[in-house]
Amino acid sequence: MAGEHYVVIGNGPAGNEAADVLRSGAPDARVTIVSDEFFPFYYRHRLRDYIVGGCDEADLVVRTPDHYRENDVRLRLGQKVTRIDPATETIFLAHMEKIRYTRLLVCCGGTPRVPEVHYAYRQHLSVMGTLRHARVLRQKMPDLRRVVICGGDMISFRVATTLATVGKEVVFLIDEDAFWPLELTGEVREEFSRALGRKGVEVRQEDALTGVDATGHDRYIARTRGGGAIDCDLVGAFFGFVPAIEFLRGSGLDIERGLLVNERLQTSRQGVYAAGDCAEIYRPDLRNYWVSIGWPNAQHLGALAARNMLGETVDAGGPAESVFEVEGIRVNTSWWREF
Amino acid sequence: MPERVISTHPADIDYVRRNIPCQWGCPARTNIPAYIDAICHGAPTASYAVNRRSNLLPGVLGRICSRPCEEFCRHGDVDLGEPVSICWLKRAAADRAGPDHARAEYRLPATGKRVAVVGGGPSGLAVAHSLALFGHGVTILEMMPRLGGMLLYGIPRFRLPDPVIAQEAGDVIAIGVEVKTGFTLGVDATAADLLSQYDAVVLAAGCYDPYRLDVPGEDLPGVYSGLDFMMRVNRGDLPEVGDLVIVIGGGFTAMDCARTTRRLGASRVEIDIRETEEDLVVSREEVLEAKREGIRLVSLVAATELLGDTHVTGIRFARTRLRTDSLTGMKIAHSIPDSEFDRPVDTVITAIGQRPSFGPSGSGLPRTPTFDPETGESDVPGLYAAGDYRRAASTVIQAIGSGSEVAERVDEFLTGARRRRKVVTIEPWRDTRRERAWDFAEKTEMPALPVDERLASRDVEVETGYGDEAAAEESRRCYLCNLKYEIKVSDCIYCRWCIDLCPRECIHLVAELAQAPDLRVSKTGRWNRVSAVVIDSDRCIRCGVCLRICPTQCISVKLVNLVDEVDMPEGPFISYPLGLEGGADGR
Repeated sequence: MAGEHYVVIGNGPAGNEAADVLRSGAPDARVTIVSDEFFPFYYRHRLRDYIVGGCDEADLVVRTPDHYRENDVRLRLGQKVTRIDPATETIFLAHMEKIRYTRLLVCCGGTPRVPEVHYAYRQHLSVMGTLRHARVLRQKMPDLRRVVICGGDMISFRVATTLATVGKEVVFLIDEDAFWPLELTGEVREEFSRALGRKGVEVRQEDALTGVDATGHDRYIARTRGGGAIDCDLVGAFFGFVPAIEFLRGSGLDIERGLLVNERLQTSRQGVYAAGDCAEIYRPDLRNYWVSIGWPNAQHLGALAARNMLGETVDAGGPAESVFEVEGIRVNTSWWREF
Repeated sequence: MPERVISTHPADIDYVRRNIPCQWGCPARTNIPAYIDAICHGAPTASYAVNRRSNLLPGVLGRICSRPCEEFCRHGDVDLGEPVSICWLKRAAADRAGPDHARAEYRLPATGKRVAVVGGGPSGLAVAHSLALFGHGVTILEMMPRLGGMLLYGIPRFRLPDPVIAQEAGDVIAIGVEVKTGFTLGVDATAADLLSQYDAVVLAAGCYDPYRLDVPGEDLPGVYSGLDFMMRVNRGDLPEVGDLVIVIGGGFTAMDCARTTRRLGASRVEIDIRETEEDLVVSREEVLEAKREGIRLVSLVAATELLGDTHVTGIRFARTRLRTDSLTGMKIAHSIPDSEFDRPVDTVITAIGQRPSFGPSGSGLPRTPTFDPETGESDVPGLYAAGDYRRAASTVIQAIGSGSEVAERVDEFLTGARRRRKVVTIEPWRDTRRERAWDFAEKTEMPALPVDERLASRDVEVETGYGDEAAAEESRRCYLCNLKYEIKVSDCIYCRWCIDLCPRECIHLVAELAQAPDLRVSKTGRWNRVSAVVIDSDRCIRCGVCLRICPTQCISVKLVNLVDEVDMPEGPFISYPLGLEGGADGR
């Protein structure tokens, strides 16, 4: 494998798992991870504690730079990939550097989803997906009195209850599109609402955000379908994540919601693979395409992709089991399909 | 250097292709930087006039253009943000243009030749307009009661209000074009009949013969072809659509049908396509607006059967997988075996395109003529095709661009000379006309009605247009790529101030330079090896910082325009965009 250069775009669970497999499977090859974030690999699920001061940035770190040095993996942080050219096996960085690869793995994860119905006022919506978002929220935290949360995904429940726990007024708007990508029964939705209520969150069922007006610096009026006008300091939009693959448009790779890959996680171009929250795979048993979610799935797919990059032939098969537990309610989901 | 150089040299035309990508990306070659600059400097009437010379219907296109220009806009480079909203600025000019905007046009002396143009849609109007300017007698033969074609009958009023079409179609015929309505090709006359009555005939009758899915159940009640559906709605004959609507197809008609059914009361509307959203020809804004109205877009599915006994009740789909054709490089969707699934539905609209037709009686010619898809010429002397009739259903701007080109060929056929051609004008320019604060300004969104207000009415226009300040703000984002920066190396003292301050690293000290086939430079950091100092125009955002900082004034600016040159009796006339100076015409 000497002479091989495995480049991994993304420094999350899929990318790191893949780098580990590549390193051990090809001791002589070059392995590089490129990430547009400046911070090392971190635990996303701890961000909700971080925003209220429950932990510090040091507590978020999964792997320090020493780990990469010891394992001979080149870690390039804060370097944004602007496009890739599979024909010349080159990735292009925003600072105009080019990196040649022999095999490329894209595991750039997801970016917070803002549904199109909210586009007109999206500049007033706060999202949370990365440490950068969490830093903004943490900075605002002392001045927050009332927060409106719309949408409803895994993160939203945790953030809402965490904010309520530290004494913030939280209004949670739950409409028919909430809980995406889960398709929950009315009964389970009720259960979620009651659980949020017990934690001091004001839940408004069957109401939805229809507009946000800025009335001053970090002061907003959130307008709702039910005629409500809620004076607040922050409007949080939690509608899950969509693959962060904008930079791949025009590269010749097949893209639907995510980067389309075959069962071996290879994209439509030779030598380019994808794994984690950005890859979309056809599942014969579902008769549909799916995008996996969750940390264990990302690790699982990252490792599989790396094995295929090393020359094995391993099918992705079904996603790993993922059980989410929110406020004592267990939900088993491993993928989302459409929105 | 003389005041203004006029060039037809291929290298200069190619310079425009590479360096003014928006103008080259426009099928009608609209001088986009010139008209945006005119808006920026408070001359909307001039801006409208510059627009109209190329694309004829700025108010229409400012609303419904497919925006191929924006795809090429330098501001859309990955590190520069989003493309300039060229289309919306076109509308801003149209909304503010003065009443005399369409009056100042060159006209050549009457030739005595007569041309029939079949079809009064966008391409027919473009053909008729150009031929009338060339001095020919033009008659438009239109099937429907009014001019406008697809604009009037195929596009919903909430995207394109009726008065805008009436105004701009009226401006076209105001220069002396005769119009006969109620004419159907192949019923009232064949192509052969027309050729016997006129010196030339241009078929610009559009595409009204819809493609079929060719699957079982396609003739069930509740299944409509997209164009028929839109024409019914625009005539006021509103179909019952029920609650669940699935539109099959991913073009503008599919989007229009889906959005229209939301206004007719459908609560769950889907657009289902065989390929992916990335492959759609419609603009991203159009997809966004459809989604804002609650319409779902489902990719990678192909209808295999429409289900139902007396009325359509469902669709059987197969999932598809994309494969790239090794010969054409095109992505083709293939059904995945054993992937079928059924979806319930109340109404199905198939909008997968249309094709042209000679009408029920055929062409009337001894054999069916064939048309060159590039030029519109046929193998029958004097018979031409333009717009969608020439190369199947396309976009309005393509139809207009095609109409103008075909008119030039018809004129050549009638007079024996090419009397209008594209030339490049190059002249010294004073300054950048831009401020640094504008370089990375964010896109100004188009104001639009809230969704509930849109859905409450079938006709109310969704996009409300830029206000004065928004239009000015958006126009400032244009980098004015028609300005060319040059460095005179003999005056350069290699101080490198320009290089240090350049925000995009586009100025290079060069030891060796090869111009062809591509600009290749061998950069150097040593002053005594410099043979040239070059500005990479492809990266340059025309910010002007180099011009202002240069201590020896060795950097200069030239204005480059791709314009029409017309052979008038008194000599060549250039339809120069004096919008920059606030005038409306270049004579």
